[in-house]
Amino acid sequence: MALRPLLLFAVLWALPACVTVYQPLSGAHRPVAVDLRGPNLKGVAVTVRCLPSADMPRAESGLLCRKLARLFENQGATVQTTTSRERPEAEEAPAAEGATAEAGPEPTEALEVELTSRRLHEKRTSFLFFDYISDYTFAQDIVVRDERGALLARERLVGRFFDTLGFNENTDLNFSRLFYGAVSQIALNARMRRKVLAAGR
Amino acid sequence: MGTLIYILVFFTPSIVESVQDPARAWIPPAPDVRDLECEAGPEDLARREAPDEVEPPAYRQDYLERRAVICRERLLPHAARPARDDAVLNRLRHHAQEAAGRVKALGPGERTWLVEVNYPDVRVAHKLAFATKTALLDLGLRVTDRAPALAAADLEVLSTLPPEKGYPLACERMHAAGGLRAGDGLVMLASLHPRETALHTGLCVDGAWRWLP
Repeated sequence: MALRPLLLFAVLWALPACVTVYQPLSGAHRPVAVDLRGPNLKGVAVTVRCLPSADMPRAESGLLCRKLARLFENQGATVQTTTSRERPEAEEAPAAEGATAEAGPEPTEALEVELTSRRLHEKRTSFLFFDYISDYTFAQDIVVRDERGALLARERLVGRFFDTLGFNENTDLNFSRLFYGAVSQIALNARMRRKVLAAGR
Repeated sequence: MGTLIYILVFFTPSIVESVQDPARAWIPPAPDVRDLECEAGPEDLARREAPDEVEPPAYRQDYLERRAVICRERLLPHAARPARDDAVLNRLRHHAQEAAGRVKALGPGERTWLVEVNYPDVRVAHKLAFATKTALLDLGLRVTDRAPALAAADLEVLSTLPPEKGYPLACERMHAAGGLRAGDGLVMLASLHPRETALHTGLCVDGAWRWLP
């Protein structure tokens, strides 16, 4: 008798359910070679600019910026964040946008990473009183420039979230691993391009 | 029974829409989404790409929402080769055409171009060199399979130098030692960081080295 609830639980657990799946589309499915915990950006001052848009309110842009700041700090960068096009001021930016800076060697290089998000497509599903987005595709435009404003990288990452019948999907982890990996790879490639351009001047 | 009919009426369009979605894979076996390279695009594009699979638009409203996601399975499954090699080879055509385009942008000339690739994996380097030579030929430039030889002593010294000093010195030595003849030019594709997936293009012409922006 005691086995009956366990059996029921096992059956319910094994049944497919409605799960959200992340599917990387163009740009976002490229393999990433960078180690997210390596000192890829050591000695680099990074300004992360997350621009709000109709599809991405300022609060969410700020959250994205804070996560990216942590990502780049873990790779040795000194980071400032902003959600406007204006250049953040060194003293005011941390209080205004939650930027952080770690004590370390003075940065000798600078990168400006600008992100813009927009929703390319969404599909809503309605059933009785429920109305929710069951499938949407977003695009994240990433532009990296050096301290002189020279373009180092311009990429677009496109991804899709959709609901389907399936088994346990670790969607957040899948998305984070691929998205932050792609952004880190773009930043490292941009840093190396900056070095090459500097050597050519 | 009424509930079942209600569910069928409301969910049938959604199920029909997603039957052919390769990422959902209701009927064919589900591939790993990472092994699919998909591009979202307008329905017209899908109709042009696969006219036998995508029907022309219906004259009457059928209550189905259509959009195109064009997917192709990767040649090699995810993680079958090192991530860096995979990323570089994934954009082989892009790297080759970009390098060739930069060389072409320098203007018309009668130079014969040699192509070298500095990449840790020899097989990947060969593929990149071959693709770049083909891209240069496609643009009407002259290409040779000759390799600019360097003496062992030169290589020993060059291997100890950082890239910003090593490449200009290598260029000088190739020119001085006759590896690059008069009228030759060298196109170099280089990867400068062990985790980098982009390639940089440099030129060695008349003993002078420069990186192309």
